[in-house]
Amino acid sequence: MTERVLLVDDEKEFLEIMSERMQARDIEVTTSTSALEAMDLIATESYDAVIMDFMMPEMNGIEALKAIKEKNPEMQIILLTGHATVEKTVEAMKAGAMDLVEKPADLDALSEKIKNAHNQKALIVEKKNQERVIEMLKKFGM
Amino acid sequence: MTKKENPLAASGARFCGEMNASISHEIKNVMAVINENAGLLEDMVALHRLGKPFDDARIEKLAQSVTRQIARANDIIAVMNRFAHSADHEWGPVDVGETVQFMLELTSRLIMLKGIRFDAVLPDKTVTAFTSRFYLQFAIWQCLQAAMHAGRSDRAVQIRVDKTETGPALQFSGLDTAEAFPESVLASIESSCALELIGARMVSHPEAGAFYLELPGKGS
Repeated sequence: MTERVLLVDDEKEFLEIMSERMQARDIEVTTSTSALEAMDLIATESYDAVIMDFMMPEMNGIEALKAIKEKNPEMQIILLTGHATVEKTVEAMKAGAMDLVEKPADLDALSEKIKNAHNQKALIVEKKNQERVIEMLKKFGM
Repeated sequence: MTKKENPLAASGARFCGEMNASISHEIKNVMAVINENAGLLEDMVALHRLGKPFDDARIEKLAQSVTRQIARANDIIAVMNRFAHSADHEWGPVDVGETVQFMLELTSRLIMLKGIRFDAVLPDKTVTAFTSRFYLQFAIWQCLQAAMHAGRSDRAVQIRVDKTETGPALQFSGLDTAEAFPESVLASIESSCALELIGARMVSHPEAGAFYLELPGKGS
């Protein structure tokens, strides 16, 4: 099954080429140049992962990460950064990021992370379904 | 030996660090685009080996993108180099308008991230301050930060460079006049060692949504 990714960065040229390369690897990509627009897209579309730049205008990556996680706790978010310091990594992980990747990113390694995000999301959905079934069985005294 | 921090040296070093960090982020972004271009070329070569013909137009577009990014990196490095050498200058005449323009260029990404626009109104004739170039840059950056606290996304903050009776002055206007006016920030700049060192003075007018940085002219 094809992975669906939302790629968010204010660098248009980076978005254009990165999405072209991801599509060549059978990853379905939607791009956005702002975190606010990305949040609107997440509200209406389903993605396996959001790959987002750490520093963006209007709303930075950490603020956006927190806002997305609040509404969609199961969303897998990978942050891209110029410098992955220990402090930044801890901050991102505490806020619920799946990973923090330093730019320039290795696309093959990133593709692996996207696959993991896809599997992780599938597991969460499966777990939720199982919980729902258990709840229903309990309801009917079974 | 006791360790004692020199506040002026420490704040100057922090200013340098902040500028360097911002510049290195910009360079990383350029490298990221070039890296993707190289990756795409590798993908194309791999597909070519499997029999897919090269797309000349796409390769030309990639080459243009690399050229554009190299030019962008060159501009960033030129600004970085100019900033690095600003600390070499002794106390002396400094073109205030040119320094304002330079600081807007140096901090353009930091300003863009805040979503604030600045419009600089520069005088026809050169306005000269007799001061330290490096610490004037620092004072201007502090003013830009204060203005960003109270700037509005729907209108630009105006920076006006004027020559007054007492000397050169920088006016920041178009700020919020309500609670967002950065009086506490201005107060911290006012008491900073950098202003004292360059012989400058802050004057704020919260009711007008403006503040001034008065600089020493010749003989001040």
